[in-house]
Amino acid sequence: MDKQTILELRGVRKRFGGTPVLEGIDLTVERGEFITLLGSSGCGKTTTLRIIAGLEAPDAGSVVLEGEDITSLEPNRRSVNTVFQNYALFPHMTVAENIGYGLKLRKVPRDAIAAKVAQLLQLVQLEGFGHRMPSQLSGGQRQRVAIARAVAGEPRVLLLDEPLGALDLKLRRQMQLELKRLQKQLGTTFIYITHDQEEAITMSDRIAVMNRGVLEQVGTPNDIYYRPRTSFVASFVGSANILREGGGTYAIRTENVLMAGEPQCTREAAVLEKSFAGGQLRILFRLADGQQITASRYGLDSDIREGSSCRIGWLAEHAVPVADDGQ
Amino acid sequence: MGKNRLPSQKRTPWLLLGPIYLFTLLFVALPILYLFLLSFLRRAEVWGVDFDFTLENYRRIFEPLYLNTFKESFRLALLSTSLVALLGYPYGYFMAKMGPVWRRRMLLLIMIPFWTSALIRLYGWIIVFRSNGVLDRLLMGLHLTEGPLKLLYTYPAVVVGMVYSLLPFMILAVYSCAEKLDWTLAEAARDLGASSLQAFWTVTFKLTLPGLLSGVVLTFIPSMGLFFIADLLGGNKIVLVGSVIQEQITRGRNQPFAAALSVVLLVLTTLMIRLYRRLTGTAKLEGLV
Repeated sequence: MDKQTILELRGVRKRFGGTPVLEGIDLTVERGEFITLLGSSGCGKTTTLRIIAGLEAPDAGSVVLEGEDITSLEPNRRSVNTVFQNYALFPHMTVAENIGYGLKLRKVPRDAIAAKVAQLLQLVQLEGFGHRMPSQLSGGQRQRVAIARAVAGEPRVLLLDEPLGALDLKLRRQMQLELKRLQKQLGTTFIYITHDQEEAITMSDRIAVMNRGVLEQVGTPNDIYYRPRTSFVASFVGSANILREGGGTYAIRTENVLMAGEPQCTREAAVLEKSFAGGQLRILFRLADGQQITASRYGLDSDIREGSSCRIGWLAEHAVPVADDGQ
Repeated sequence: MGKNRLPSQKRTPWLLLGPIYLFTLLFVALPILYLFLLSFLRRAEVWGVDFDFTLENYRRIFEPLYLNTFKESFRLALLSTSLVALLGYPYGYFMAKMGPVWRRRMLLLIMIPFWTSALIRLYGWIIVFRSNGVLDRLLMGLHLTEGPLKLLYTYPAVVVGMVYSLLPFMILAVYSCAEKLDWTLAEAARDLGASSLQAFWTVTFKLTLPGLLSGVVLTFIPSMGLFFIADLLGGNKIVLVGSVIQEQITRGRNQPFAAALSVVLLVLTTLMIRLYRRLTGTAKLEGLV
């Protein structure tokens, strides 16, 4: 076994009442990496996480942590902790009691717990909040407490189930950076779940794109973005056009679609729609065979008018051949 | 929301709340005031009360006979409540944990008895408990006992009657609290290293304690006063405060003394509710909305 491997999923399957949720997940997680399970809701990413945590038992397959098969181990016997989506802070305990909960169960001496709690509060920038109740905290503060509580036991692997999902965009951005900083500081392996591809690209060392209970592709953000292997990955991560032509399927990033004037512009296309979103101008074209292509440009406007037609094209290397999974 | 509301909106709360206040005043506050005043009056020689102030009724409560009745009632209430808690907590807890189908079935099991009068259901217990009754014949048929157990008109029969009558209140109190519980909290506890038992005691039980305590209040208070259970299943061997009050009104024709006993019971009850609030830090009783 590779020395760097910390966690392995081998052929993990799970059904809920006859509905397959996971259809054979194989995943290798390396020590100290930040890996993200990316997928839309219902793709099985949360179930995968719960199986790693031991909160759900797989129907088949195994979970291996540091070479030891932990598939049938109780959640409290695994050196894996979870940051839950809704934080799941104990409402009847103070912030300090929440953070020290796991340590108290392990019979760590009282003053050692207090010291560790103080250190963690400092780590998540909540000094002086130890005596507060969770109900007295803001969403972002609760989030930090949940993280501090989960790392208090120094787990081998930290699982984070859409931890930023409930926060507003600005706070989200800030927490993304903070989480990344925390992960580097602690050196802990993070398995992170999100449906937000931008978040996944910003934070992860590697991304595992999930779809309908299957891992479509595992790779660095760069790989996933520029070398998608399936049409699903290409359209889910960033925004790509899926072009089916000559028996093949190709993914073309919207920013790589060239318009009017370039020598590669060999295809006649009708301009269907122009829209402006987030600093980007998006133009929707229809090719002669009816397929639609979106191009994006930075800038406010272009002289291309809706209802007119123009020539578009792309560099041959920008049309990435992908496996067609119908999406 | 704020200062520039329409005048009609200002009046609406009072129009809505008015009837409730009026109802409470007429049917709760005034009777209690009447009871309180009555307890300081003297019983008339033949019928009714004499209007002279006296503390005699309260002094009489401290006579060993009545003091003992309070003690006995308290003991029975304590025993019944403990049994009700032991049976009702798991039932309410699991009912909250079940899926909607089982939840409805379990709820139905509690609700069905309410469709029949409590008195008739207690007569049912008489049929079960009486000499050579259903229970005796069953036990003898199974060769578990030799002869009839003569369970009717015994202390255990009264306890069974109490537990049977009060169990639904405990179950509903626990259920209404457990139903609101976020079960991921127990998962979080497990995740952080708690065994299932530790997770239950440190998280789930702590968070459903208000329901249990409110069930205790809802059970303990009526069990001091449910005289007809003691009468029907205990004969006149077991005398509760409720029985004494009822007897003083009917046969004893001593309304002031019955009123004094009631006031004492009311005060004890109020103290219990205060204790409950102190323990749980909440103002409302679970299960009573």
